[in-house]
Amino acid sequence: MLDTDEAEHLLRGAPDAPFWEALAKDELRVPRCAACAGWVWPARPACPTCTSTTFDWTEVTPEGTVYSWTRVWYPFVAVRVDELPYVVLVVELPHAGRVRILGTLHGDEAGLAIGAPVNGIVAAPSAATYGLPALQWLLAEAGG
Amino acid sequence: MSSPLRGATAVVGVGTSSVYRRGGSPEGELTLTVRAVMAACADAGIHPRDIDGFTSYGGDRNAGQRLMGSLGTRDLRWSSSVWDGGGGGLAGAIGSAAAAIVAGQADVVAVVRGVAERSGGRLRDDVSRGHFDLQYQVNGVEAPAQICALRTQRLLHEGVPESALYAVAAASYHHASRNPRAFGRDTDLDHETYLSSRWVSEPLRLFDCSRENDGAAAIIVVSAQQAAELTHRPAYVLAAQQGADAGFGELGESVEPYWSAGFASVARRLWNESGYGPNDVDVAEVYTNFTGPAVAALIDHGFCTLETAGNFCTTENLTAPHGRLPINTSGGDLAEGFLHGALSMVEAVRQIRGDSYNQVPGAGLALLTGGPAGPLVSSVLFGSESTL
Repeated sequence: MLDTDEAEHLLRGAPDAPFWEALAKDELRVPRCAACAGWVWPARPACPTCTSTTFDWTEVTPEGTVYSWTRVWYPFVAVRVDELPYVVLVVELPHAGRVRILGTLHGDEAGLAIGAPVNGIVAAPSAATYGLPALQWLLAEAGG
Repeated sequence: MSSPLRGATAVVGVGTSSVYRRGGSPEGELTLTVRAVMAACADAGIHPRDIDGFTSYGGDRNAGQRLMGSLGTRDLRWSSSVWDGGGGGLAGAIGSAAAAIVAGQADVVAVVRGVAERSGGRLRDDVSRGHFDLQYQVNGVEAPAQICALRTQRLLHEGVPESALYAVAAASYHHASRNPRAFGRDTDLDHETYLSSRWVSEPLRLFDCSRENDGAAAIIVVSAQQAAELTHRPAYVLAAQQGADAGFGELGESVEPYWSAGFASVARRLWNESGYGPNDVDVAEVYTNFTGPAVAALIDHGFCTLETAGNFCTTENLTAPHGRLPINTSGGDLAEGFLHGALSMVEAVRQIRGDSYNQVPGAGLALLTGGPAGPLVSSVLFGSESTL
């Protein structure tokens, strides 16, 4: 199982390291190819469209829509046993070429459905996130 | 039809070790794998020392060089595993064996997979280690079930009814009830039992999920010429394809189409290489880590579409002997037992030989798929002599 030291170690040198560094500053940044301007996610060493290896880590308004979701009931993740059940979202980012990013749902679950608009917040590092800041999502029309 | 691989090799032996509940094996995975290979050799009528090649997948640790000391291997010529930790390499390992034989790199290749908790820990952790990056782990996603749940949720959203998931489970458990070796043989999975089972990760319930078991399975692949000397009922490898479509091939949630099990290009190449199509297939052993990806795999292979999956995937249609496409005829990964899919390669061969517990009468073409929703997937089409 991952621990906070190992998470920190994994982060360094990973293609998405700037993502985590941005989250620590309360910003959502997504890589955009410096050559062809395509949004690339998950982060990787080169752009799949033009093979450029230079990216502009572009700040993106943390708004999106639920593309898919699951409510997790089984204790797959030791550090989240006390949170069960919790909801994991795949969120489509309209301001970043409609790439899809993972995050957990925070707050009221009423209105949870594919297509529901969500707003992102950055949650402080915790044991559940292995000491890293995490993007969480709130339903924009919770209870609606 | 011009593939040098088509019909050039055949499976002549199948074998398994004892299979246990997860954590129940008194022996480690290396010993179990040796036993499976020896059983497959006995079935094939060859001596284990005649094997000169080994293939596997899924990060299996029981490499040829580790097995050879027990098997008396004289000259190990081919030891090769399909990359990645998922079951996606299952059929690819058979393709790798066939390719080695066609290219003259080996003559007798054992395709093996051995798993035991005492050796590798829980299978779901063992096969995911190093594959879930921080984007997943930080967000509480560390198991294949969760990713398959997200994909399945979208599959249902695209119009596939939940009844299709149930049909995969119901057919699997029905077949298991007739297989004395199946771990799920005593479960009568009616719709109410299925619906009332606990959630694992929505929309997947307990009965949508594969088991985890300890054990090993092996098959022996040789050239078609040698096969004809060894047995009167070889299971010919008509086509074997592995890979990933553009945009797949890594773990990410931006794949398109998201609901897919990722077989589109593999299936296209499989039908091209074999000269057959989905309507010709008699029986399918569909890798079923979870029911949703299995349904998606059937769609990817052209058996049905998003629109027709509900009508196609009924318990009646998926059940032997007379369904339109009987699947998982030993009980499969859900109900027979789960050795990372390896028991299904044994069952696919049994169907071609005509000795399944749920035999499809006159089965000539049997499909085996590996690894829905993994970064890499693979499929093999086995055929009887009349299909060459």
